[in-house]
Amino acid sequence: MINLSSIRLVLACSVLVLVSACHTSGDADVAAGNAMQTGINGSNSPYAQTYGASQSGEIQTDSNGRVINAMVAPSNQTYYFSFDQSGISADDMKAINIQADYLVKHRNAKIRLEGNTDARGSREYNVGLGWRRDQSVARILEQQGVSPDQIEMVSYGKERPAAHGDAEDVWSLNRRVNLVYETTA
Amino acid sequence: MRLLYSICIFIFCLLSPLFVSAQLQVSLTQGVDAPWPIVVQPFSEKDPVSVGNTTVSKIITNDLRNSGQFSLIKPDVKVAGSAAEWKRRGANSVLLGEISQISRNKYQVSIKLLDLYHKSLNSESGSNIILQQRYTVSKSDLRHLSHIISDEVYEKLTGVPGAFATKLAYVLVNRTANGSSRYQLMVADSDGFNPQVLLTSAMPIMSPTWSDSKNLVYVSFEGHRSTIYWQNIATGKRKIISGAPGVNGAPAISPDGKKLALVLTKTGNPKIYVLDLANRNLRRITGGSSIDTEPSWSPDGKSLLFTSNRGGSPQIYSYTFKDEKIKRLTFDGNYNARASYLPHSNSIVMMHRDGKLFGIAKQNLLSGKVNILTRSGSDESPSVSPNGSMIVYAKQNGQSGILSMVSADGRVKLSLPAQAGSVQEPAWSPTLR
Repeated sequence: MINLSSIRLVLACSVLVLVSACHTSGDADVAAGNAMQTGINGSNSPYAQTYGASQSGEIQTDSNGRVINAMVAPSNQTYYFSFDQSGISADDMKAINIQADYLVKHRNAKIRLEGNTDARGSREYNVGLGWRRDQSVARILEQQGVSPDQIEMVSYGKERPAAHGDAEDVWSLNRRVNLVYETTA
Repeated sequence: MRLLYSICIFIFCLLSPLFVSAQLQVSLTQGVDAPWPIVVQPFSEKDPVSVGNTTVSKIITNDLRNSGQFSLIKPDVKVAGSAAEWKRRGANSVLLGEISQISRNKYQVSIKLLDLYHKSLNSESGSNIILQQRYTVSKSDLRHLSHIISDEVYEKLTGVPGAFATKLAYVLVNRTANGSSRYQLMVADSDGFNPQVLLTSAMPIMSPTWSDSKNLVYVSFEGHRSTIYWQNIATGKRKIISGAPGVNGAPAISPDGKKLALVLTKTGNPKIYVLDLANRNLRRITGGSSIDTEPSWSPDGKSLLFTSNRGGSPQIYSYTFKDEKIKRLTFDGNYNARASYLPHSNSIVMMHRDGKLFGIAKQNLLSGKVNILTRSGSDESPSVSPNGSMIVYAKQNGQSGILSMVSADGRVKLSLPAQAGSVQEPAWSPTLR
């Protein structure tokens, strides 16, 4: 259990840092008494965290908007999946093995696998499906000798789409696992 | 250090209830074939009493109309008290009311419900008073009282308790200019008024459910981890109920409030567990390599419904605690999920897909017959009102999610278009009284 007073302290410090974000976000829906809340919203751009901080610089995408994985390590990655499937494609297998090799040689390096699905179906079932995709990637990493302690897994189901819309080209961009380095050393 | 870091980056915020402008609006899209004709007369007031920009009688009128069970005949101030005139206009019942201010912040509200076609000894203008009540409330409680009056009128005339004086919890998602999303846990009155923010996060919030009439349980992904929280609505205080490594999902509090059914991945696969909230004893209910999720308690607490793909596609199964037996319940359709029991019936309500369109369906557990209630293509997350009469669910409307309602018999349909953002995962509160 997290100590509440320490959370408050951290919150208070963070709010000070984030006040500027709060003022620039210009959210008319949020009442004045709500500055803390607005600051928090402005603080965290999840996509910047997921992709922008890639170890290899700019993220390359193909003409369909799919991330082209850098064949170097360490680099953040995105692996795509077929509908209701958790199997890995041959191309991704190569990319995963490059990251696995790095992780085996750098035992303090840690990654997070973030499983995602497209918008169809029930929300909690999709959390299960995203988890299956995490497991598929993790299994390959572990087969290559990566320690389970180096891998953290979370499934967002359909809650964090990379693209919005109601068609197969959008859905296919959302059926993915993001491999994110938490620490590289 | 890592903990402090993740708290800094993925901050969340506990808020005492806050009012925001984004509000749900209810509009009836389909009613019953023969609605009960009723007149709601404007309540007589010594000093006009407003409730926001409306009045007590207008709130009651709205509730009754939106139930789909009534046709609201236009009141006439001039003929107030004339049973003959109301009958001529086609009414069967009349609701009369009176509001008076009895102290600085105290109001007395009295109501009479007249049945125009049944004479008896306590007749007034030749009609029978079938309901008579007096209430004393503060000004801020006038809206809630209006819903309570609607509930009593509804129960008197339909024989089923009303569910107007209830609340909805839901998740509101707004995409921000920089491409990220803002997730908020909200609670509003069942007619969409008084929306309050309980939690704002840059990370997803999922699966809100009522622990009782004052507390919510939900999943939050702060810090890139799924965690199940319990939160008091009035104070905003919360605590972690489950923060195991991996998935912590699909919370469901038992009818007696003592246990939590949830999904964990302790075996590697998403499985159903039951956590005793008092002694923290955790028991795994399902096994194997399938995805098992969305546990939902039977009203007597003796069994669970859940979704599983153990047979290939997602289908609904039941688990009985006594004999630990699992039984497949759904066979129609290629996708059935998120089931819950419909109170006072031998039926369950669920997400149902036959072909490509997702809808909301009801299945009779005795006959196995499936009755499709809605089929817009993206209908999901059904939640049943405490009286069992209405089902609220979410669907896509273009790029944003909205809430809709359908009566358990499929005859009444309502939509609740949101004004800002996507609304998802509605959860109907228990009875508040």
